[in-house]
Parts: sequence; structure tokens; C-alpha cells
Amino acid sequence: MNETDVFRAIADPTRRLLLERLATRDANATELRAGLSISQPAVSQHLAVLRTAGLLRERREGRQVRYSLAPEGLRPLQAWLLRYSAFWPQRIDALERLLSEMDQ
Amino acid sequence: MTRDENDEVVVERDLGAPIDKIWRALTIPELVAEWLLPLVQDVSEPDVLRLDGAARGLAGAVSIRIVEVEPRTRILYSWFECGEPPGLVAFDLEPLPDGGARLRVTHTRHARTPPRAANTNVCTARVPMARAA
Repeated sequence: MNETDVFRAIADPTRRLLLERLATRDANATELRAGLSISQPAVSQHLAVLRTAGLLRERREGRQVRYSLAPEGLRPLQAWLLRYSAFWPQRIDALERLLSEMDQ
Repeated sequence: MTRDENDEVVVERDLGAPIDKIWRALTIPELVAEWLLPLVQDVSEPDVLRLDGAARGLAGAVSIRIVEVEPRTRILYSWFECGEPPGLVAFDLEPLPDGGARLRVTHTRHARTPPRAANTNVCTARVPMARAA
């Protein structure tokens, strides 16, 4: 893993969402995809990028693969970046909503 | 101050609103509370805004203070998040030909500075009743 891989991995909103889901609990690809309007192959591709970046781990359980966060993958620096890379776009969305509600 | 020593998140967005209106949303505490983070009720220092970071996925309380102001162009806040090294958040505005403005948010912090005493104060700031339960 190198830093560029990690930055590329977390730059994508879908991959950040997958990481957030895995932060709560381990899951297989079907569970990770629940509620998302993307195909199973697309999810697999995102998971491959995250695995290459060293951010997640997989283990086989029968015919299923279960994914979990690799705790050593997100060093504190990257955890901070991940948090605020998600935080600021969401806050600016809220700012845009407020601006459209404000007078003049 | 090399890149190695700092973490940085930069987000840019073109906003359709007039720059004066954006400026108010970035500087008036009641408006900042509307879009950034909820204000914590018991404000003890007038120039510091205490915010509830946990309401928006952060670790806990956040306290911000205006460091630098260039009206309608730039406002720089210090950013203290409970348990984290101190950081700075700059909001830069640039007028666009369509009457809107480009907003650039630059959040930096020292990667290796341990949390200082000031951050402990942030952690002990009371959160609103609704979240304290």
C-alpha cells in the first residue's frame, strides 16, 4: 500500500460509503450493496480498489467472501482525511440549501 | 511547514448565490450554526463558537474562533476538535461572472502535533440537552 492508493481509494464517494458501512460491521458484497443503485460487478471493482489500497481485508466463508476494515490500513492521518473528506462536501451541501432559503 | 507535516482537505464549489449573502452565511454565528454544526447552548466566551461535532459525524465537540478576516474574500477559523490536533479552516471566495461565487474550503492541521490543553477544554464543553441523554 502507498499513500496515493489510499487517497485514490477514498476520493470516490461510493468507496467512502462502503468503508463507512464496514466501519459498523463486517459484511459480504451483497450486504454492502444494499440500497445502492450500482451493479454487483461495480461493487466488486470498488472493493478491489479498497483492498489494493490496504483498507480492507477479506476472508472466505463457504461460498461467500466477508469483508472487514483493515485496522492498520487507515492510520490516524488517513482516518482524519477520510472523516473531513466526507464532512466538508456534506456541509457545503447544507450551505447551498441555506443560501436558497435565505432572503435576498 | 512542508506538506509532510500537514494534513489537508480542500473542497471547492461554485455557488449560485451573491457573494454578500454567502459572506453572511459564513460569518454570522446563527447562520453558521444552520449549515455547519449546531451551536452548543452555553456560550462562555463571546469570540469562540462552540459547536456540536457529534451531530454531524465528528468525534465530539468542536470550537472555532475567527483568526483572520478579509471582508467578502476570506475568513480563517481556528478549528479545535475534541481529541485532535488543532487545525485551521479557510473559506475563500472568488466572484464568478454569473453573479455567484466560487467557495474554496481548505482545512489543514499539523499531523504530528499532539492535542493541546485547549482541546481538553473543547472536550468538556457541555453539549445541548437533546444530545446529552
